[in-house]
Amino acid sequence: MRELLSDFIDHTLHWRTARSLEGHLAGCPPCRCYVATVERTIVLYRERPVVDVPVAVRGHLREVLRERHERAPKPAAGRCCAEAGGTTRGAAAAATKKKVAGKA
Amino acid sequence: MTQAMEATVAEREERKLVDGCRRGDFDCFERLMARYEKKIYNLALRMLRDPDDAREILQETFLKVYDNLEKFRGEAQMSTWIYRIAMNEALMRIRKDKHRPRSLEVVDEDGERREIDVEDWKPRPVERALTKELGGELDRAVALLPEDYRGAFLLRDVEGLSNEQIAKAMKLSVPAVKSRIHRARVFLRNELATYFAKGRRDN
Repeated sequence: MRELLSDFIDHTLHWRTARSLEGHLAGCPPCRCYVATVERTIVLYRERPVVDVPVAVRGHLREVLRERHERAPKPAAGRCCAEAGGTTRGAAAAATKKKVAGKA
Repeated sequence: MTQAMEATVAEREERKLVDGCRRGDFDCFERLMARYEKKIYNLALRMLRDPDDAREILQETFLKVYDNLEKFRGEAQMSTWIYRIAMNEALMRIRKDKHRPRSLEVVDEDGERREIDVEDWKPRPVERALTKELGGELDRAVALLPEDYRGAFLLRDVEGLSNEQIAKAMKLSVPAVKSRIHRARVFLRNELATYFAKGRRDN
């Protein structure tokens, strides 16, 4: 029953099941309380502040990726870019690995 | 514009960015990264509660995205694929670190604590004043969840992924995902119920 209520909270039940559950909830205070408190728990947690990625971390990430990008050989003329990219990105991967380990 | 139309426009824009990345356009990759980096950083912070770990997971995730873009065939959504890489990194890190405190077993439904009146959960001035404390309590409770329960809960209730997307991202079956989310919610709700009940006794 409780898993069904979890699906009800997620709005993933078939409409007929949802409607019949609504009927049950109207006459069942414990189930109503359960749904209300679980929903409130989710809402309260969603309200937790989201932090920005620190500027130094963003900068370092871009630096590392740009370096990897620049090390990758450019696509040869006449070749499909995606095909060429497949080898290039992989080739530069190991070289950048060391840098990634460093602190931002 | 309806939500569905906005989603389609966003998906189309994202596909263009992925195509740009495959052509070697780094600006496209930066724009793609800008769409997800804050979400991934916060997800990692909530999974591990450590800024250094979160930073490393963020970097590893985007390096893997960059290196494997050709393998991304668009069968899954880009967001699911990125969350999958990030979640995998987070879970590996948690499981590798033997010194990390063990999570509690999530209580069975039978072990649930008594019901608390819904009235007690309505926002009140005192609750608003306690927001920081309440937030800390929630963070502590989330950290006590076993890592795969925590991951499923965060992907569903914070990031808004569907059960099917979470199943792909965490390599679990849909029933396993649903069960973890359900149990995580019950556990958190019970932890909060205890917190509210304690506050009522203290007042």
